[in-house]
Amino acid sequence: MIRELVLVFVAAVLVNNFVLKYFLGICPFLGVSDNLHSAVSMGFATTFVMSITAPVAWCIKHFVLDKLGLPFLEYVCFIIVIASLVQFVEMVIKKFYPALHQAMGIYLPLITTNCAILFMALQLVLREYSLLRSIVFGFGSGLGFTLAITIMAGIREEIEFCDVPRCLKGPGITLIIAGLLALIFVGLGGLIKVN
Amino acid sequence: MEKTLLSMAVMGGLAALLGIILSAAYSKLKVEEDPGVEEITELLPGVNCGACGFASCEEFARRLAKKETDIEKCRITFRNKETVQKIEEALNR
Repeated sequence: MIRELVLVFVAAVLVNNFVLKYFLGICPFLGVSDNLHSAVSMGFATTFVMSITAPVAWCIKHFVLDKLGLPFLEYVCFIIVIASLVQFVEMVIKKFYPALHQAMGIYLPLITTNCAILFMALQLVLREYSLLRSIVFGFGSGLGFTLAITIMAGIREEIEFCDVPRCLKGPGITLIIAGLLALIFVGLGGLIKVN
Repeated sequence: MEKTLLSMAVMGGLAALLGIILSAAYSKLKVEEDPGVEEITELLPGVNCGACGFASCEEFARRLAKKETDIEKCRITFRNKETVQKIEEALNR
């Protein structure tokens, strides 16, 4: 039981990293990763939304949609749950961390359209996870996102001081780094065998 | 037919529940803002197009209130003389 949960967790964080394996959530991954502090905060905001979305999505799926025979409402239900959670997170950040709110700018409400979160909610239904596994999966996926965006921000902060060819400055070198990171994470694929 | 009604009920219920939670959270977490900024935000188009160089219309309004930018920067409002005048009035208050 615990072994399985650990497997789900490691798979979500490292092996099937949403950003670097499935290329989901690229918008904040490239948009907010120019500064380590806001990148980490973005990661944790997304992790928070994901870890709450997972159990809520599971409950909606199993207690409401399955009981009433309305599986086609999955997408819409998950989307409004995610949207409301993001609204809530935005309120909290605006209230307690105004500077951070300004640094994240438009990317904060854009967590709503972060495809990684919807993908996570749909995957846990598709893979028929139990409630406990869903929670671990949601949290792990969020941490995976945080890990990817943090690594990216760290590298990009260092790149500022490097002698990058002029034609590659900005988005060019960022995309190359993203590709190299994805390659590195492919190497982790043999770590464990999961679907 | 039954399914249609059922899905409407489910979505309505879910939306109402989330709405209540959010409005409760909002009343607890409301941030007191400069009323001038709020007034300007209402006058701006609110489409967050980003043409002014800021992330959102709200941010643009905040910068306007601090006199860090110009109303002309808003590519939607600047043609509308009436709105520009109203915003200027709000700024000079």
